[in-house]
Amino acid sequence: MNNSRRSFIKKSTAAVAACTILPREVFGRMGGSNNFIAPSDQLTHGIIGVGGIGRSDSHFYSDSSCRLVAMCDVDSEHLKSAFNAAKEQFGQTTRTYSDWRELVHDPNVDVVHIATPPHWHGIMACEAARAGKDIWCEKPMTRTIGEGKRVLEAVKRNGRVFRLNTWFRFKDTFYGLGTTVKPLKKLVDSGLLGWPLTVRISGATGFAWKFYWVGKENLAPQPVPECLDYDMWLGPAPYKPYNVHRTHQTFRGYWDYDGGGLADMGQHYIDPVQYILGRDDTFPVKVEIDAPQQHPDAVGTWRSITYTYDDGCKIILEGEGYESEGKVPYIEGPLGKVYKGFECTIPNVMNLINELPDPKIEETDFIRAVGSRHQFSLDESKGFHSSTVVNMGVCALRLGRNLEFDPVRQMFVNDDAANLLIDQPMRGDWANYIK
Amino acid sequence: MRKISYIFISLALLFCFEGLLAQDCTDSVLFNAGKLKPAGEGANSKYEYAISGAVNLATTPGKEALRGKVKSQLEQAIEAASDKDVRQFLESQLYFMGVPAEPAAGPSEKELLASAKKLARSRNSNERCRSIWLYSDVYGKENATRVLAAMNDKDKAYRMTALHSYEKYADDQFYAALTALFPKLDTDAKADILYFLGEQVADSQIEAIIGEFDGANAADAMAAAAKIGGEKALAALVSHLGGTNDCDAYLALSSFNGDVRGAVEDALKTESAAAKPSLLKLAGERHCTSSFVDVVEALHSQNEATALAAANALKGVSIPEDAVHVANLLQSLKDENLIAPVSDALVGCYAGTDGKSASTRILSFVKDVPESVKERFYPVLASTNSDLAADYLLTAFKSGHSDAALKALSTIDNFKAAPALLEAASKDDSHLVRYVELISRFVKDDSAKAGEYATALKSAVSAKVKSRIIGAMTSVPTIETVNRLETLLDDPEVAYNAANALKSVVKEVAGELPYAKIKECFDKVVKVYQGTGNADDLYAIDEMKTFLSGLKK
Ligand SMILES: NC(=O)c1ccc[n+]([C@@H]2O[C@H](COP(=O)([O-])OP(=O)(O)OC[C@H]3O[C@@H](n4cnc5c(N)ncnc54)[C@H](O)[C@@H]3O)[C@@H](O)[C@H]2O)c1
Repeated sequence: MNNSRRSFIKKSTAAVAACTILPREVFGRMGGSNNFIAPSDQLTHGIIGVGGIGRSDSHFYSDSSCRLVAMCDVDSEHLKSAFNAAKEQFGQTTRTYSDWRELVHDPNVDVVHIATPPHWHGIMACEAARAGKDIWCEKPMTRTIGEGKRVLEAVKRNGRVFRLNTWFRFKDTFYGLGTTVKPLKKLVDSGLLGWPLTVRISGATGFAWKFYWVGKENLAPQPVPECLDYDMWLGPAPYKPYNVHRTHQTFRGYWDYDGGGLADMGQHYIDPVQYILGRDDTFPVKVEIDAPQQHPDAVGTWRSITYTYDDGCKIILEGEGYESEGKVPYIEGPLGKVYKGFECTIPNVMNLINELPDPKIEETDFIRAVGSRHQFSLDESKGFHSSTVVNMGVCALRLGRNLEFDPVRQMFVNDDAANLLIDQPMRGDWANYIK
Repeated sequence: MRKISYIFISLALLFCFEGLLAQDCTDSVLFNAGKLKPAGEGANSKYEYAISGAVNLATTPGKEALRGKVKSQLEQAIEAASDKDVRQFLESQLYFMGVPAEPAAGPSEKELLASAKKLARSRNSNERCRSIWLYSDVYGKENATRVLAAMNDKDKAYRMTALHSYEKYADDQFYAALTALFPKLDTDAKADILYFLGEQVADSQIEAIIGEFDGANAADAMAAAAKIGGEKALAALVSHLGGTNDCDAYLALSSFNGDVRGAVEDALKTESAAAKPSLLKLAGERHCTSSFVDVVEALHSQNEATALAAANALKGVSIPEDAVHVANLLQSLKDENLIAPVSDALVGCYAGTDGKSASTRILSFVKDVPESVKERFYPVLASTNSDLAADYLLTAFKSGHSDAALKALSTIDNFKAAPALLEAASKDDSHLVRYVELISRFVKDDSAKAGEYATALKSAVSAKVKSRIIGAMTSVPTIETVNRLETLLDDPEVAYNAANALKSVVKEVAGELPYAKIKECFDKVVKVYQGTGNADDLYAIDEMKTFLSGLKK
C-alpha cells in the first residue's frame, strides 16, 4: 500500500503548481448582471464514491450552478457505469480517478462530494479542506467522535463551506411525523410544552431504525473481485479478509466502517432534535443502553438507547420490536405532548405558535452558501455535534455499558476504554491525513 | 418482525451464556483465544463474544482489579497466535486495555507565528485562512487589528474566516470598529460584516445597521437587524415596508427576533397603502386577531393587491365569534379571486365546533343566501364532515351544482361521498385517490375492501393513481391481492410499487401459499428490485432469500 501522505502531497503539489490564486467563488460567479457564466468561472464538483447515494440527485448532477467534472471510485465497475451515466445524462466527459487524493487535489474541482462509507468521511473531508475545497459530505459525518472534531477544525481553519447531507432540520416532512421540523421548533421555543422535554424516536412515533443493517458473524474469506481495490476500500479500517457482505452497502453492519441502523439513520433523526431542543452547540451528558452484548465486529440490535442532557431533557431511541405501546408522544413536556401529524394536547396550538416569529433564517442553498461564504444551515459544527450524539450511542453499545460524557472536554467521564473509542487506530499512514 | 425476534432471542440466550461465563470469563480469555481458528475455518463468533465480554467487563470503571489478569492473558494469547487475523482480533481487544494518550504539547508561540507568517504569503485562499487562525491562536483578543485589516481583502473566504476567528472575542468596541469601516468598504465586504453582526446579535450597532437600510446592502442589513431584534430595529423595518426593499423588510419581520404583533397592528392603522400588502400578510401569519376590523376594511380596498392580501390574512385574524361576519362577507363578495381565501377563513371559524352543530348553523345561514352564491359555502360545509353536510352536498351534486359539490365531496371525511367520487372517476381517475382513502378509513371488512380496491383499479388510468391504489391494497393481505398484484408487475409504470406491495403481502399470507408460488412471486420482485441499485432494496432481496430458505419446499 503506497499511501504515504508525504509522497502523495509531493506528487500532487507538483501537478497543481499553477494553482488558482483566489478560489473561483470570489469572481462574481453568482450570476451578476448577465446570465452567461464562463466555464472557468462556473463552480465545479467532483464525487468520491459513485455507488448508491453517490449516484443520486444530491451528488450526481451537473447544471449551470455547478458542473460535475470528476469522480472517483475504488470499484472500477461503479466508476465505469457512473462515467457512462454522466455522459448520457449530462452529455459530458468527466475525469475519473481511482485514488481520491487525486480528485481532492485536482485544481479543476471546487467542491468535493464525499459519498463513500463512513470510515472514510473524516479523512477525506480533512484533506479536502486542506486542499482548499468546499465540501458536501454524506451522513453520518464521521465514524468516530475524534474524526468529527478534526473535520470541524480543518473546515473552520481553512475557511471552507461544509454541508452535511441530511436536511430534515430545514426541509421535507420529518419521516413518519407527518410534519416538517419548523412548527415543532416553534412549539418548543414557545415554552408551551414546558421543560425539560423528552423526545421519543421510535417506530411508534414514525421512525424506523432499519435493524436489517446488522452484520454477519463467522464470515468466510472470499476472493476479492477483480474490479475492487479492496485495500483502498478498507483504507484506515483494520484489515479483515474480504467478504462481499463487508463492502458495498452492507458495510453498515460492521463497526469498522459504520454502526448499523443507529449510525445509518441516527443523524437523520437526531440532528433535527438537537436543533429543536436548541442543543446545536452541546451534547448529552449521559447515554444509557438496554441492549444484548454486541459482537466485536458485526453490529447487532438494541432495545433502547437513552440520552440525557444536563438540564434533564432526554432523547429516547426505541429499537425495532421494543416500541412503547399505545398512543406515544414524539415530544413530551410537563405541560403538553405532541404526537405524529402534529397532534398536540395543547388546544388551538397552531394558532398559538403562529403568533410567534419564525425561527432564524439560515442558508439552505449550498451553492449560494459557497458564493456568500455564509454557514450552511447544517454545517460542520452542527454536523459534528449531532454525529457525536450518534457516536456516543455507538461507543456505549460496543462496550455494553452506560457512559457519561463531559460536553466541554468532549470526552467520556472516568472511562478509559470509552475514551479509546474517541480516536481509534488507523491502518497504514492514514492517520496522518487527519492529524 | 419474525427475523428480528429471532435475533433477539438468540442474542438474549447468548447473553445469558455470557453472563454465566462473565463471572470467570476474565479467567478464560486465554482458553477462549486458543479456540479461535483462521477465518472461515470454524465458528469463532462465540469465542469472540466471550473475549470481548471479558474485555468490556475488565475495562468497566470499578473493575480495575480484573484488568491486569485480562491484559496478561491477551498478551500471552497474542504471543501464541499463529494466524494473522486471529492475532489482529486479539490486538484489537488489547487496545481497550490501554490508556488514552495525553494530547501532545502543541507548537511554541514562535513556531506558530513563523507558520502564520509563511501561510499569510501563500497564494492559496485557504492557507491564508489558516494563517489568520494561527494569529488568532497567538494573539486572541489582540488580533483585532489584523481582523479589521482583513476587511479590505479581496478574498471573501479570507474576510469571513477572519471574522469567524474573532467570534469569541468580539465586543461592542470591536463591532463599532467594524461599522466604522463602512464608508471605505465595498458592498461585498459590508455584506460580510452585516452578516457577522447579525449572527453575533451585536445590538450596540443597530443604528449603523439601520443606516444601511436604504443602500445597496439593504437586504443584508435588514436580515442582520431581524436577528438582533429590539424596538429600534422593529420600527425601522416596519417603516421600510412598502418601500423599494419591501420584500426584504417583510422577510426580516417574518423571522424577527421578538414579538412583532403590536407593531404590525398599529402600522395597519397608520401606514401607507404601499405597505399594506406586507403588513396584512404579517397580520395573518402572526394571528393579529385584534386587527380583524382593519383587515376586513382592507378587503374592500380598490387596490387589488391589498384586497387579496387582506382576504388571505382573514383566516389568521378571525376567531370563532367572527363566523357570521365572515359568512356575510363571503356572501357579498364581488371579486371572484377573494372567494377561496374568505371561504377558507370561514372554515377556520368553525374548526373547533362539533360537526353537527356547525353544519346546522351554516345550513340555516345558507338557506337565506341567493342561489347564485350558495356554492361558496360548500367548502365550509364539507369541513364539518357531518352527515347533514354530506347529504346536502350530494343533493347539490345531482342538481346542477355538480362541479362545486364534487370538489367539496372530495374533501369531506364522510363515507357518504364515496359513490359520487366513484361515479366522477369514470371521467377523471384522480377522484379514485380520495375514494380509496375513504374505503381504507371506513370499510372494515377485508374482503369488501379488497373488492372495492379491485373496482377502483379497473377505473384507474394514470400510474400515480394506480400506485396509490396498490399502496392501499397492502392493507388487505389475501391470496386474491397476491394474484392481482402479480399481474401489475408487467406494467413498467407501477412495477416498483407493485413489487413492494407484493413482497409484503406474500410474507403475510405465506402460511396459505405453496412454496412454489411464494418463490415465483419473490423471483419476480427480485427482478424489479435489481434494477434500482437502492441499498434498502438490495437488502430486501437478501431478506427474501432468507425468508425462502426458512420455508419447507
Ligand atoms: N443522505 C442520505 O439519505 C443517504 C442515503 C444513502 C446513503 N447515505 C450515506 O452515503 C454513504 C454511502 O452509502 P451508499 O449506500 O451509497 O454506499 P455504497 O457502498 O453503495 O457506495 C459507496 C461507494 O464508495 C466507494 N468507495 C469506498 N471507498 C472508496 C474510496 N476510498 N475511494 C473512492 N470510492 C470509495 C465504493 O466502492 C462504493 O462505490 C454512507 O455514508 C451512507 O450512510 C446517505
